[in-house]
Amino acid sequence: MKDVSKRLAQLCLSHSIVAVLILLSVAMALLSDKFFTAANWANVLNNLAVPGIVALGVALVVIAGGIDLSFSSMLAACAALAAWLQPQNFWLALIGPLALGAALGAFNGLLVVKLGANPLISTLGTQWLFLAALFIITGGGIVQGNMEGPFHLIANGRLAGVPLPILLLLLLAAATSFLTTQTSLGKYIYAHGSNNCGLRFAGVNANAVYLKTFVLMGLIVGVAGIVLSSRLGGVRPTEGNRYLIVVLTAVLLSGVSLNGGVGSLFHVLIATVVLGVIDNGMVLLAVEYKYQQMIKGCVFILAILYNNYTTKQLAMLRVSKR
Amino acid sequence: MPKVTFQTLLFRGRLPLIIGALLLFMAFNDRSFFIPENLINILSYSSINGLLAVGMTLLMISREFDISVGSNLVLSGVIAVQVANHFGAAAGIAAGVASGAVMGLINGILVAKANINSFISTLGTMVIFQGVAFALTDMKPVACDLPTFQSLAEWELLGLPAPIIYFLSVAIILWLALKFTRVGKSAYAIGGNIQGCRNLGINVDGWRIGYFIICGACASFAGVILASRLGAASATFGENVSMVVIAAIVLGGVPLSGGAGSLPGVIGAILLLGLIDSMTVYLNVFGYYQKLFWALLLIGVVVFDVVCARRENRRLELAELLRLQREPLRDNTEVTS
Repeated sequence: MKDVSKRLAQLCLSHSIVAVLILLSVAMALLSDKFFTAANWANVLNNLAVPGIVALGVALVVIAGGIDLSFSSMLAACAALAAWLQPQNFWLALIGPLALGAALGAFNGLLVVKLGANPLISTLGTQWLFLAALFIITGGGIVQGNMEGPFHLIANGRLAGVPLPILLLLLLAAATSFLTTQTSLGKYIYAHGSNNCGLRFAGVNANAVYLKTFVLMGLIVGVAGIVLSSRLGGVRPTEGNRYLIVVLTAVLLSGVSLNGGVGSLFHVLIATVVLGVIDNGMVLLAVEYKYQQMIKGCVFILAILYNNYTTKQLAMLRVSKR
Repeated sequence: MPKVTFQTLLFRGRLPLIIGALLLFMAFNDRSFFIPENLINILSYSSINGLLAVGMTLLMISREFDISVGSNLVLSGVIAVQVANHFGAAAGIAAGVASGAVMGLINGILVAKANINSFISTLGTMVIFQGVAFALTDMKPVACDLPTFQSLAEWELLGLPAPIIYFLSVAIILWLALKFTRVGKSAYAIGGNIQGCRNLGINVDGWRIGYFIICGACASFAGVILASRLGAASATFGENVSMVVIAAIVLGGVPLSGGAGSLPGVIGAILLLGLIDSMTVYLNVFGYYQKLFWALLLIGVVVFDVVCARRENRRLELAELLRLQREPLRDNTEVTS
């Protein structure tokens, strides 16, 4: 019996972000009767598609022990390329941004993996570099695609009543979860984050794993760029900047450790939804815009404190088990 | 005394070399760049970023950083203006700087006592501080036209405008503190080996909170000076400042892993940043080339540092191997007995 309760406690503690989501949802449902409607949830999740997809990619890199701050510029670059290619050819507009994302990811990867530069500072540099390059190439103006045709449907179409971006987000979350939990590459990514020397001694090409993670992130950001471009129609070079804080917040909130090796992609998805629910809740409760930022920041800090607390409790549970 | 090679010379002197090269380039291109007004203008322009950077240098030497300085700058400016409007200029200035110290204290407690990684906690407080500034100002710019408040940054000494004097005096005080007092020694020690410091009984948490307070106070001082120069403060400003400042400190030779670096290097990097900004204006190039150049410089220096460090390590390893060959390992009974 004691064992069962212990296991239950462990389960609750290790999925604390899910508990946060449930608590928030219940509170919101009590406060507003519009919250638990299909239309509202579709709206919440639809707004989350782009930051949610990007957060999955960034989380992979953080789990592998690095960090990539250049995703905001990568997102804008991929979206702009998609908007530019879209009037010419539908398939090109899909392949182009993915290839660009992978190439930019590989560039970051080469800096960090091959040259051994610090990921935080070098991807800060590439963030500026990509943005500046994008500004220079586009002349600072808006890249206009057209608002019709199959490309427009990516962000605005529905399949069985569900908006396509939501399906795409869920699909990618499932795919990355599968990758990290069921494949050897996923295990290597975790191993690289927690103990890359050990990984090397185990005979795995650790650098290749790390590089692949960066490229994978680029691909995922490319997908987000396609969705963003399809939703907006026209893309400004600064379009990615407003996702910078949201994505980092979602990744860190989910319990992914900046030291690497810890975290779950499923939790990243949940953390993004938590942020979306907070945003949505403040709109539904008609909180004045000037207070919203402050509330978001406080919720973020509280969630981090709670996360730290649960991690500590979990560690103590594990110790007492022995 | 290690041998001074060409490489170490290049490594140590990279900032003066880059600055020199840029100045030489400008000398061939546009002589009017060197009129005293422009040089003073560059210094004056750099002094706000400079104040933020010298304040954060101590923090980064002790292996933490503070992303919230941009919001801190904004919020303290707003507080200074609003308090000055109600209670007079002196109270406004005092309240502005004090509020920055409090923000630093909050950051310090979150990092040192609650054990949150400083990247995460200051990301959170960045959002909070800006949110408070939004709430205080109703998201509109606030103005203060008290002449005494504006005179804080108006005076000149020996032809140098006040912001430069403030920047230089803070920089000199912090440089002396870093070089000669326990404030600096502890920063290097904590950055180098925090567990070792704990074992030695150094009050690690106290020092770290102190560095956060210094960083916060410097940022808010910069915010107050900016508000006094403009006669106004706005909540929608200064979002990317912290990243520029962190990059400048890294360019100035403080590694992200802490425990090393010096203040003159950081000041050099800040001047380099101001120089690039001014040059792009003089050469009349599209504004984003400036950012491109700055990015390439940052990436270049980071990569250069890593390559240098690697070669240095290899050289040391080789020297160690040679030494071992010359004098094989002695019997270590002497040591253990």
